[in-house]
Amino acid sequence: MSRQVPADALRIAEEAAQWMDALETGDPQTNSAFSAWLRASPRHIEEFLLLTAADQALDEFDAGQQIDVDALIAKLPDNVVSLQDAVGEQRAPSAPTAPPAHSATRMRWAASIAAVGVGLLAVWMWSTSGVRSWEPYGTTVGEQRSIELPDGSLLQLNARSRVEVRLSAERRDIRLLEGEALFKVAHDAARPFRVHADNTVVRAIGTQFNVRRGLSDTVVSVIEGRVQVSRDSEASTGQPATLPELLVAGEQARVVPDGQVTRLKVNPEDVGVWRQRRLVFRDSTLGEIADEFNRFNRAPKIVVADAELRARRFGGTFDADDPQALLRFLRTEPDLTFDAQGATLVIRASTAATQ
Amino acid sequence: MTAKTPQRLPSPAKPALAQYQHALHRYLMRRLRSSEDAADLAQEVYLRMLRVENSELVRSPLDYLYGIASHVVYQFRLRSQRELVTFDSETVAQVSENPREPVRDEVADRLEAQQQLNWALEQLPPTHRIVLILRKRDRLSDRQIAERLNLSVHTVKKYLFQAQARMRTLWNPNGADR
Repeated sequence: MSRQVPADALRIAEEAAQWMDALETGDPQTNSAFSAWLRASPRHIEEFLLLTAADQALDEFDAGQQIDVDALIAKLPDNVVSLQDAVGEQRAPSAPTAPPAHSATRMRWAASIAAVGVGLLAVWMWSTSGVRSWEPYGTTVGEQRSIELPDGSLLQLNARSRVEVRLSAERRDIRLLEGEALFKVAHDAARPFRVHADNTVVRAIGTQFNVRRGLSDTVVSVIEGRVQVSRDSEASTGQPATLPELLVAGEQARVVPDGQVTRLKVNPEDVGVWRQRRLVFRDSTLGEIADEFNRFNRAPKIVVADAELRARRFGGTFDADDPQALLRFLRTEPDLTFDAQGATLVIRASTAATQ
Repeated sequence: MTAKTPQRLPSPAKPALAQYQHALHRYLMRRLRSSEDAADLAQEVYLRMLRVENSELVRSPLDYLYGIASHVVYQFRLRSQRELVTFDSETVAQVSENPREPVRDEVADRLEAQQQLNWALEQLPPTHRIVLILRKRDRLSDRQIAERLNLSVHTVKKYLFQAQARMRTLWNPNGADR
């Protein structure tokens, strides 16, 4: 019987590699944090042992120096390397460096993990600075914003969105009050990273995911790593818990107010495209599409008049700043009428009225 | 009695790493390659680590980890030997007198390991592969690698962690990430 490498092996092994590196300092804080990590799960122990064994096996590798590293380096597309380097150096040293954005294997390799040492420093800095309050961040219509949190995590806010952030020595909590945000979580096993949106809480360790709070649902999409989606105890609604759900990269969970969860597959490359101000719809309702354009544009404000039309489904990729492209697309639908009233554009289905 | 340990083991509180790491390493390399998981070992180590006083553990967690793991591997081996030979005091005596007997095995293991290693390295993206070679073969520091590749130290570390993690999963040809 042949077993496969466990699905979480890569993630845990990467944490193990960070520990292996951090332990070289030999300071008591690292030892203490590492002990806690080992005791947290047998999987941690297993991966740490396997990782160090695999790494040790490399010790005698190519002792005869048969591999020509200079030749390998010469073959690198150096523009990619230096570009990325420039980004990495210009940011604060604690910033999780962006993965090589145009590499073909970027999804597999994209991992925004701050060095453990930096993480520990951040823990120390925050733990010595007293009780934290909720720090608000927001964007208005059309505005997008990148916020680097003191723990090294990166928070990207979509237009017309609001969050509150509270970091403490024990935990990292984010409230998504409105809109959409993408999180690149700096790894810190000692401080869980949680995003609260309506009745949902998303918990992550060293990963990338997107949370979108809609009018009637919350949608969590995982780009990389794993997250756990569960009912938020802060918003105790008294309903029976059907959660938690474990989501991996390429999965999406839609949570409605009564706690019902629908799981969908999603292309991880599509999840964050709003950051390029692109809107990708695959079988979305016209109501959702209009709302999305309104997030980016004050005028025209698109209003879809009747409920039936709002529920009609469309797909397509658009420039978020070009609502006219959507309107051109919709004009090919024979039954729709468009009625401009000042800055507002009302879309109606004419069939019901005329036939 | 055959069940008796042929030599005294140090208590996990004073692990003799040099003595046991070899067996532990061999055990782990088998697990890496053969699609067998090391969950049974990890589970046992985990349970034993829970019994260690925290103040003791944090003093040198690595020594504890390897010490306990080596001890568990040793006991696993004893157990499997007992399962194979129902009762044969002579065989057991031979094994205990000649613990380096499986040398032939080791050479084969080593050759196979080198081939596996070459294949696994080929699977890494170029920059990750170079970072790993510069670290493991050429023993360069993060800073030196960063200068050589014109990357930030932070990026070098990140690539190194990713490459090391990937190498762990690539040992197994049926690996989750192919």
